[in-house]
Amino acid sequence: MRKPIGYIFFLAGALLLSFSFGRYVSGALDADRARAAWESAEAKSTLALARSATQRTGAREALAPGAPVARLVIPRLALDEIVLEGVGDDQLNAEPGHMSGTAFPGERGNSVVSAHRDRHFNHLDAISVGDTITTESGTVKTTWVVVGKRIVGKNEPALFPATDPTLTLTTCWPIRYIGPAPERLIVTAKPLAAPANRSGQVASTN
Amino acid sequence: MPYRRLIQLALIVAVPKFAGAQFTTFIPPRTPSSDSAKAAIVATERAREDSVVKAQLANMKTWVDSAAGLPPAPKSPNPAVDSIARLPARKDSVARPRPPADSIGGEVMTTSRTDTALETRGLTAPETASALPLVAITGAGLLLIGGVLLGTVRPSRNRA
Repeated sequence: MRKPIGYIFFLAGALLLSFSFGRYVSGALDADRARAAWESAEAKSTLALARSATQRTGAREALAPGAPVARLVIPRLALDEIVLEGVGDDQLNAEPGHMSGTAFPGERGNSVVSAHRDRHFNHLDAISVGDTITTESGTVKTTWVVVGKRIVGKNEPALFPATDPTLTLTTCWPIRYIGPAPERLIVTAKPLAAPANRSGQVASTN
Repeated sequence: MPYRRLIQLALIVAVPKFAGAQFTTFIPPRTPSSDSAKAAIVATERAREDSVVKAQLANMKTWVDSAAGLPPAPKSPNPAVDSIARLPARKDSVARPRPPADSIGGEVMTTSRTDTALETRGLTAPETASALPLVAITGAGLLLIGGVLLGTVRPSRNRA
């Protein structure tokens, strides 16, 4: 009787471990693919985003979930990731996700980027007010400065529309929590300087 | 008699000139019916009967269509064609007002809001709670317990 139960436990444990391991591996592969797509299709995304920016109608063309939309660099956390469109399971398993319908980083409005606390934002608690964040989205490269850091309940409204460019990073809180986290860590950043193009020069409208 | 001819010639030239000075041009008053609807109806009836005017009206329609960017009407004997069907897809001719733009450090940015998903009362943060750590720890625990039960893993015992 002891051995059959041992086999069941052993088998169940192996299945759960292999499942979680497989998800991590597939996420890593998807992340590699996203980075390759970002680098190869950079010109296309630049054109698409530039076009959407020039339309300036307020209505955004929906991007396919999983499409790379930005590059997120946080020097304090040694984080350099490609942000994918959408905050679904598959997107967050691979890379940080851009909440659909919110502004792209550098555009007017609140741009919301979320990631798992056990993955890309596993050290987001180490970021402090005054730290800088860099985003590249299309032709716009923006340097942000963290202006706020707060913890809210998971059902508490925490994302509000903004009239000026705003970057909001969210993840679960507590970071080292095992199981469904009851709270959320919200990091708010504002542009440190004028948005610049990819060559590092301040964009102009000439 | 050259002087007689000269006198005749002088009279021919001078008399109408003096006479014209005595008479002013007579302009009859406009009949009140010229601006009335009746006159317009009469003019329309005349225009229908006048083939030249009819041709001008037809040409005018063609000209207006061509100016509007419409393709010419098909010259088929059966004109019962839906005229709307040949209208090309065109943008609304009423110019849409551009959203006001302002500048932040030289970058002109529209004030139209792009974070349309966010409501004024706020949204909750996306569900970023991953169950994978819990699944992995649970799996490792089950694996350990199974190993102990099978005897392949011996828990350490303190033999004091």
